[in-house]
Amino acid sequence: MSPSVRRVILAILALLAVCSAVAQPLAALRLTHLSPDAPRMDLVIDHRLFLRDVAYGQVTPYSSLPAGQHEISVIPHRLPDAAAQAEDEGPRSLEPITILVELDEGMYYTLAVSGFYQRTSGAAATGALAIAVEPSDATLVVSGPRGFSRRFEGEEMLDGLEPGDYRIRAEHEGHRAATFEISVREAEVATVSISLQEGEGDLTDAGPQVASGGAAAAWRPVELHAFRDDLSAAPPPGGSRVRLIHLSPTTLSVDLLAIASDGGGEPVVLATGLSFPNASAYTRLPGREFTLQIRLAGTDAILAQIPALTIEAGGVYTLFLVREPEDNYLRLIPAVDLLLSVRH
Amino acid sequence: MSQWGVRRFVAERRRIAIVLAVLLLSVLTWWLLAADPWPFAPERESLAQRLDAGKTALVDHRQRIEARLRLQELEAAIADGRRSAALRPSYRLIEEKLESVLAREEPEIRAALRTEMTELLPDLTRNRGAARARIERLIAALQSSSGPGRQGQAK
Repeated sequence: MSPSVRRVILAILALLAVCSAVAQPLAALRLTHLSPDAPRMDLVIDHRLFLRDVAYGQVTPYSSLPAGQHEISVIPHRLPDAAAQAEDEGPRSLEPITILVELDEGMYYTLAVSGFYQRTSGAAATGALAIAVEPSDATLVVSGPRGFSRRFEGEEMLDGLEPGDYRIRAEHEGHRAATFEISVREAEVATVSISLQEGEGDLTDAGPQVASGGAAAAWRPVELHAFRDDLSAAPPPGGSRVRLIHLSPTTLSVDLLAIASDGGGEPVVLATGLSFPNASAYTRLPGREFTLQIRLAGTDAILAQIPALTIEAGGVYTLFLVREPEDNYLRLIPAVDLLLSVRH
Repeated sequence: MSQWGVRRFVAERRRIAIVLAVLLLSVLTWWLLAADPWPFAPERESLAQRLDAGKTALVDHRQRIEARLRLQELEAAIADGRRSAALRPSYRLIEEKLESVLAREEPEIRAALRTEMTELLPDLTRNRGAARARIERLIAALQSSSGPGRQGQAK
């Protein structure tokens, strides 16, 4: 074969390679940073910077990348030298978190950073107690080791508790008071659901209904999770599709209900018994204003709620469940996954 | 070079030229098939502009919806009595989203909404009632305008 023919063949092969590279199958990816106390993050894919400076609470738009297996890492955002010098601690001390993800052609993915950056002092050595009560304004008195005593009304989440046996007394006018004990273990959240019975005096023979005694971790480090977003089905006419992603490692399994703010129609269950770190399937919702309630799975205990959230028709939405450790507040962070160009 | 050598040289050149021509045609055909929008469509310019305008309007609409959803979440957190320090990260994210939305608003509306947003931050600490009223006004403003087709960007 002469050199010129060889050159032509090589040129053809190079062109074919370029063409196939241009036409390679794509997937789409976005990042959400939901580790409340972690620094801003950069996303690195196959050792190349893909997204930078993503802050807590942010959900980036989708960006495309070739389908196939990728090595995906999140690292603290690289600070300029001056700023880095000003930082005494923190961002640089978090190790990169890397996962291997297989991205299918034409599919959408959400990467979520969850967990906690700083271990609360003594978090691992303490436990927590989540109490749900019916009626919701019942008075609860919790007593425990070393003279621990707290009095409050309605649902409550007590954390930083010393492991041991705790006594809970629930009272409400027109209902029979009830007292019982529960063990709180190290690095776990014990859950109790109480339903008081109507009547007077203390309950003797028939005990209060204790619906669950589950346990969740009290602390978990920063982690990276990948979720596949099923955006193949368009929202129904006049409606939307909504799902929940549970990203609160210290929260037990939850249910998510959507109750129409105008009181019309039955509540729609968007997620049932969803645990960390999982996503529910997308559920159809009509476009209107809803009260969204996160409840302890299988109970009526409301852990978090947004009283008025307008779900616009033609959209696909994700709600992220996160707990902020500063004040132990459980948040539902809404994000738009997809929006149809609907003419109004 | 002998006569035979010259013939061989010319034949090889012709073969290379044919291969290059076929290759060029293939690439051109592939490009035409992949081209979107079709380059020979009537009013190509206006079609591309309309597609761009539609996309921009949709991105803007999405930002509005996300800003509104975050405002509604912020309002719920205020109702739950969260400390103002804990509300600040949410405020910052809403502020960023709103800035990108406001760029397309009329100057008077832009100025009014910016004032609401600026005043919202101190009100989160000093006057929760006023903060909620401001959030309500911002939500109403985000709901009343925009949407692809509503403002006419995606005609």
